[in-house]
Amino acid sequence: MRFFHVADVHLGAEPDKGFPWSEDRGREIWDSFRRLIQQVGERKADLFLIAGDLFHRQPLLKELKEINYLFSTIPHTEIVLMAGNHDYLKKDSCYLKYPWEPNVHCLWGREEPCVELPRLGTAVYGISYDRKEIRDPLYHHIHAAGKQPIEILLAHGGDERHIPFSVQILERSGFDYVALGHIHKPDILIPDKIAYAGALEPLDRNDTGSHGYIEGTIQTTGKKAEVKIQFVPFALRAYRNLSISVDETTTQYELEQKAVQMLKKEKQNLCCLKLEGSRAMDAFFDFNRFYKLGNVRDVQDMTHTSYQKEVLKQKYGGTLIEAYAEAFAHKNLTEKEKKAFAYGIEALLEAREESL
Amino acid sequence: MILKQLMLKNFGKFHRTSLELKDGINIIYGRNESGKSTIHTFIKAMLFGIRRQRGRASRTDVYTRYTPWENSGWFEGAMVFSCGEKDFCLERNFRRGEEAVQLVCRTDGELLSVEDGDLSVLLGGISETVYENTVSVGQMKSRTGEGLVYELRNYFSNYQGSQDGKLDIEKAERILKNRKREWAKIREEKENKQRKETDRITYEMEYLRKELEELEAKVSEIPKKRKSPREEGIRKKIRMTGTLGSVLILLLCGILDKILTGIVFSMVLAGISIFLYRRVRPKPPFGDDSYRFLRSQIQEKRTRLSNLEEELEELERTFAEDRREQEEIEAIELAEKKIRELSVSMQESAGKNLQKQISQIFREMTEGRYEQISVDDHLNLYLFEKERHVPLFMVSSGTVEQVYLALRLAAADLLCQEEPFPVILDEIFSMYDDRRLAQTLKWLAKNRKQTILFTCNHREEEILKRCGIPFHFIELHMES
Repeated sequence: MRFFHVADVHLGAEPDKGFPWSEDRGREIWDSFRRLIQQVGERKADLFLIAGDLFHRQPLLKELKEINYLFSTIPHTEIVLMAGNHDYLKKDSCYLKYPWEPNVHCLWGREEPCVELPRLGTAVYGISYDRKEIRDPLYHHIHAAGKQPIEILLAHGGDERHIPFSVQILERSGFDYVALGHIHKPDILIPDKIAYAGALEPLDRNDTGSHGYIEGTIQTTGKKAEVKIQFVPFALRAYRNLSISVDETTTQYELEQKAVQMLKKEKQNLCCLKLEGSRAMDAFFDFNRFYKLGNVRDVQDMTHTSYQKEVLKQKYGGTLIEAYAEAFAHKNLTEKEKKAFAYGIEALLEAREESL
Repeated sequence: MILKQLMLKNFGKFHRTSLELKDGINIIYGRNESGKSTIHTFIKAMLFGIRRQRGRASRTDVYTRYTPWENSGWFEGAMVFSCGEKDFCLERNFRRGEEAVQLVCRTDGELLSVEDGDLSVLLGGISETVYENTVSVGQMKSRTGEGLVYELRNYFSNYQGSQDGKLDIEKAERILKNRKREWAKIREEKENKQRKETDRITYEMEYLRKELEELEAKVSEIPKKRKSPREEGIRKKIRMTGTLGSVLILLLCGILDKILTGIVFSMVLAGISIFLYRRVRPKPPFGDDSYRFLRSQIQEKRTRLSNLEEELEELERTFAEDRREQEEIEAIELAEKKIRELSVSMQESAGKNLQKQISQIFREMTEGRYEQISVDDHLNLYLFEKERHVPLFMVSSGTVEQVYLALRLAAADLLCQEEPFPVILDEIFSMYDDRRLAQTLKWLAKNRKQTILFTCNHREEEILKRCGIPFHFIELHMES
């Protein structure tokens, strides 16, 4: 049996509000999901698991129509879906009333958290969200009941406010595979056994790295089921952190040139520029200009002005500047103190007329 | 410390030039462009090295300006000085990439280590900045009397606040305030953007609510319109029979004098008819397409409304959590606070002593004409002249210059207590009249071990001769 495991598609999200690509991204998330369905069809997958947060918010009826149609294009694939913390089952959620295609199975109920698919010899267990936050470790209480030869758990969460769980307990609960959602970074917690598929498309600038879905196979020999999974990169774009090194001679134009070259290589990826290194004391960069160079999501100034405290203390010994450097000389400076030191010393040196 | 010999092996325009210096007053005479400031810089460079400026500033920095004119690959010098009865020789190579310094005690033939701070010990811990602030005195830049007073006042207040006459704390504070304003502006821009976005969402929600109201009104109208004439007829009949029947029964029983039974019967009849009336009320036509359509539209809009509510909430939360600008502002405030604290404590420790010292030096220099220099809360300086105090702006430029010299010498006394330094004066006497100049030179000859005086005229020389003060004269010749 071949299966696909996807999570956190977040249909309807428009990441990076206010940036020029935001609306495009909204469309791209839909496009990716359509492509994925196509892929499921082409790979003739038997089972398609959706581990929550298919939608970014409460799904609209017309949106459900859309995906139900998509599901209808892969009639030979059994689809099992659950609701996550974003598309949780509100009292009058459209999820509950929707007349789904026969190949679509929803894990809405909490009494009977199981869908049996005798054709595949598979039972899929899972608990949907009925509110935004659930702090109970609900998944600790589910165990594979031996209803079918292959038993899978579909679960969403893993942090403190969203159904926390311990990997060890899940490992011991008897499931052949645990398909996880909620954490956007794809992560195989136990090889071929417990894995986060990660978000299909990255959704904010912290979702760096590769994104896609998990494809796997399950073979039953006698009573044992053998699972093999593999992460498949699929997202149209990625968020990338680019660090640009700065030194005392760097100018604005030079930095922009560097950035342009790096951005060119990134094509349509969305980039956070990090300026690192040391800059000359009188160098101030206009960060707003970087946003116009390409798909720049953020510019972070991690540079520090190049003063060595020892040199300062030597040159300005006996004066306020030495006393100031001394005041910030201890190790373990907090970020704030580091910044304060740089601001202060910059102002002091600038206020000091250089002559002779 | 006494400087004994300067050897400019290759420095600026000088090549294999050696100058002897002696105790007491040394006059280095030279016409314009003869290299006086080069020698002045050379002394500083020997003592503290040449630190290259970074970036753009390097094009005009000291290193570049004094790179030897000829044979620029060779850039070095040496200096002999005495310190606490011992002679030392300091040699430096300034050439970039080959910087080297060697310090030898000639008396014991011992090789000392500059890296380990041996030179710094000989200098009595004086830093380059303190040197520039005190013993090395150039002319004030201002040429007008008012400008001079202002400059002196600044220097004095700067000195009190930071032990550094060139460091203006108020200016530093202004710079920090501006930085803060820049960040506040960025935050404000973000806030405006945020407000636009929340306005957009609120507007959309408003609109949705209105639509919902209209839709709900439509739905509630549907049953009324859909009453069928047949059902209405039946309802009418029930109502008629119900009311008429109960009234009749009531009357009948009234006649038969059995009111109580009448009331019971009539109420039963009324109850039955109300029940029937309700039963027959036409039900909303559930099977109707347009009704279903309306309901699903309402459902859809409600979902959208609740999604928007969530979005608004999230937007506000993320905005509140975004503290990037606030963090910068807080860091700047910390810097401001630290600078203020340090400045106040320096002023407390330095201010009083400085006033005492400067008064003493100035009294001696003017041979008792002015008894004291005092400072008011606004850091205006006053001179006390025989029970009359004169604000500084009322005295001559020569006097202001002299106060400036006294101030620097006083600061030097306070900061260089371990090892008295030679006083280096670069053309500072041009505003002095002859009498003042004579007094000052006398004071220097008496109170300072070594004075190095750069000048481009013969006044100092003549006055010293007239007063019978011994001095050492060096003339710089123009290179051919």
